[in-house]
Amino acid sequence: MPRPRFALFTHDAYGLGHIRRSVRILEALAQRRPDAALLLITGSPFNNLMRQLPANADIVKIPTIVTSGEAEKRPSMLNLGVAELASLRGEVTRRTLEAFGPDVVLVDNFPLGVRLELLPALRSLRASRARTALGLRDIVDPPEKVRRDWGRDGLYDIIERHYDRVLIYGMREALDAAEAYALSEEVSQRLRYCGYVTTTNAKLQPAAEIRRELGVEADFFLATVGGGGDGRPIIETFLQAMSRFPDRTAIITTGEFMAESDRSALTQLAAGQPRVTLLRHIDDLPSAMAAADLVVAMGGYNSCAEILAVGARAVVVPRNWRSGEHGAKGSTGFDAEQLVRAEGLARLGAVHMADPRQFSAETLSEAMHRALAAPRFDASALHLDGAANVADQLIALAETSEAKT
Amino acid sequence: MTRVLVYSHDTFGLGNIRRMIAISEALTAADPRVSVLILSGSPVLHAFRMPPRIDYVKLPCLARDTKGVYGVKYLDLDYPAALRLRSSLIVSAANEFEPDIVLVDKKPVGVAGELQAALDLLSARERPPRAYLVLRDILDDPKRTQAIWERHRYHDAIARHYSGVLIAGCASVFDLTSEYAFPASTRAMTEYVGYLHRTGGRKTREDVRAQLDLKGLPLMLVQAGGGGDGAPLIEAFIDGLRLRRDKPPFFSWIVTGPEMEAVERDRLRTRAASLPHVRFDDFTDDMTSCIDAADAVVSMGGYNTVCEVLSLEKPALIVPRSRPVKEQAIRAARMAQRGYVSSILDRVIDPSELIAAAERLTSEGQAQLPARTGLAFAGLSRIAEIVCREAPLRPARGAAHEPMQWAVQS
Repeated sequence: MPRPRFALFTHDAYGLGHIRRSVRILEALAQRRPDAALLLITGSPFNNLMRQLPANADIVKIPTIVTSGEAEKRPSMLNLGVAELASLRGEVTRRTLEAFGPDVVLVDNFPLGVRLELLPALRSLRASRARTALGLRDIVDPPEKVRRDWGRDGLYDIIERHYDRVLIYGMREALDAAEAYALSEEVSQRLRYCGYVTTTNAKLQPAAEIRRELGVEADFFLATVGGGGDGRPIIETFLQAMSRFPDRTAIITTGEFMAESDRSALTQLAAGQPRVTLLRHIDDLPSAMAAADLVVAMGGYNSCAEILAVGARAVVVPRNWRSGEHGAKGSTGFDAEQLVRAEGLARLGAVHMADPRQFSAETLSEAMHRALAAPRFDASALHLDGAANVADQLIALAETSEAKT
Repeated sequence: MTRVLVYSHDTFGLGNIRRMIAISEALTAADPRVSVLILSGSPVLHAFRMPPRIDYVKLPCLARDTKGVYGVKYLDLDYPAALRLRSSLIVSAANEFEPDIVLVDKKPVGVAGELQAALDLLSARERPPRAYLVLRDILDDPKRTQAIWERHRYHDAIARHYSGVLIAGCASVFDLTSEYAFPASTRAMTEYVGYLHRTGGRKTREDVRAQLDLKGLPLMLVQAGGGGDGAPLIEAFIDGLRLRRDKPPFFSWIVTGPEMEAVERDRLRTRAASLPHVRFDDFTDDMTSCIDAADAVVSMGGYNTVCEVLSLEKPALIVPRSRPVKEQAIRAARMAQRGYVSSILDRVIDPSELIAAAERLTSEGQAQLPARTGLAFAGLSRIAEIVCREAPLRPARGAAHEPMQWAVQS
């Protein structure tokens, strides 16, 4: 098919994970089809997004709607109510898609967007030749929550009626979506597992080089807490656990978003431990993960995807003290999405989990000993290049769009 | 709650979008009930931090090359298809946002008429929004501007859809309604609101200067606006500095602008790399703070830059572009005639002359700083007054008593 058109709809939830995944999928599409027209529709105000896109991609930004996270940290929004904003976004999206005339539309994570906003667009697409795909994170939410939410909102019918494909940005081995979300036979047949969407093509620096850069000599531990906004308790516990590894060196990254007060408290704690170095940020985290003897990380999608992509030996600590990006998770006291992911990957032998329900220096160091004693997991057979697999799926779908009746 | 829909013409550079964001910010600051939705296809929109209660819809990017020819910037669509897409987006945003006020930048029916459908839709409403056309001080040379306005029947569109025309400039510098021979009907609804006073950068002068290793030298800010056609100016400046390598007359802070071609930027960066007392940046989203921190400025002649150097009372050397439109060249010449700025109007910039002229700025200052000139600078507050409080327009000279036929057409 000459000059196929692809549209991606990515919602603007708190955090940048969704946008980064979309950019990687666009890159993979552009590599395969430089003749395609790629359009990203999103409400994310992510700085300098345009510069990261491939040459044949453009953005339509719709009004931003972010309803989770702290109000002060939200981007600038119109002061309209959520219902009206969703309607504005929905109409703009529908008209954009109608005028763009895509062969394939990929919708990220929420089958109807925010507050039914995608319903007009989906109805209009159904009457067109466009094929539609729903992209789901490896673990959307804990399965029981997904079943409850989708059942309540009628999303099972929406998916069955409006989506030709459901692409999972993860592995069946970590979570069997058909079973966990109780998908119908019909929808299950449209499932495709694509692997984790992350930067697997990045060239890793040799271990010796990254060690020199970080100022460590022997095998070292690496503890990382992502952006670091809520990473202090894990690092505190990690510092206590380090006393049980007297011969080991550790590098800790606190992340750009850690509060200064948290950071200085950690600096004081670490001051008594000469073999521990606190850094705010490591430029090439994947290379550092690959070079480390052991990685201690939280259970977010990107961290786990990077761990798998570089084949790091890792202990994963699911977030366990406050709500994550979806408000309801807070009620359980730990982030159940991260727990499900860590459990799934641990079952597979890809990582080792420190149980967030009994998290202490004791249980963390046990998990670290367990991980060190186990052989490194070989992830090479898992087809983890998610962006490439998603792109291939979308291109295959585009080839069937002419045939749609 | 007042809803303001802003259409910003966007195909080249940063100027239009920066001006419209400044106006939007003045509106939300003047009235806490105002919400502003900006429609623009500027590829640099994502680089700006939006002030509270302002958001935007980014349209697919169009491009205008240095010859003035329009095309599609990124998407592999033909030009008419891209325009249909943009027009359709604009209609849906206008329809759903239900604006009370519409501000349109420069082109009464938008690029290639893409705004027409939305204006028709809004004008047909029971209670149509008030629409204002916002024009910068100078558009292009009179002959060309008049021809374009006649060909596209802009005055008819103004009569049919608009409540007023706001010129963000001064008749004493450029009498736009006369220069472009506006008909009486348009003149009657036109007001010169004055230039836009631009001061509030996010950082203090002291903070910005402290981050530069000035070594007691004066700070010369050299910038090319969006940067799309700024390479000759930056290159001439760097070449001039090379001639003065042994004793640079100032610390040079060069900002190329985000739209300079990457290869050009890299070439210039390499060319400047070995020079002492130079800092080289691609972009800042807070140019006002940079200008405030500088002792003098060398730049192209864009509207915002000129407003900023005059508002902040900086001696400035303006080296305007003259293609594809003459706007900058006219502005530089008029401003220089009145002694507000210095300018170099030659088509080929001589590096040693450029540095010598820049050096004069720091040694002699500007003969006549704008504060002493009586140039009107109340554009932002006047626009806020007209838009938020429905203050009556003061018609441009010579048209106060024309019958306003446009008002009864419906």
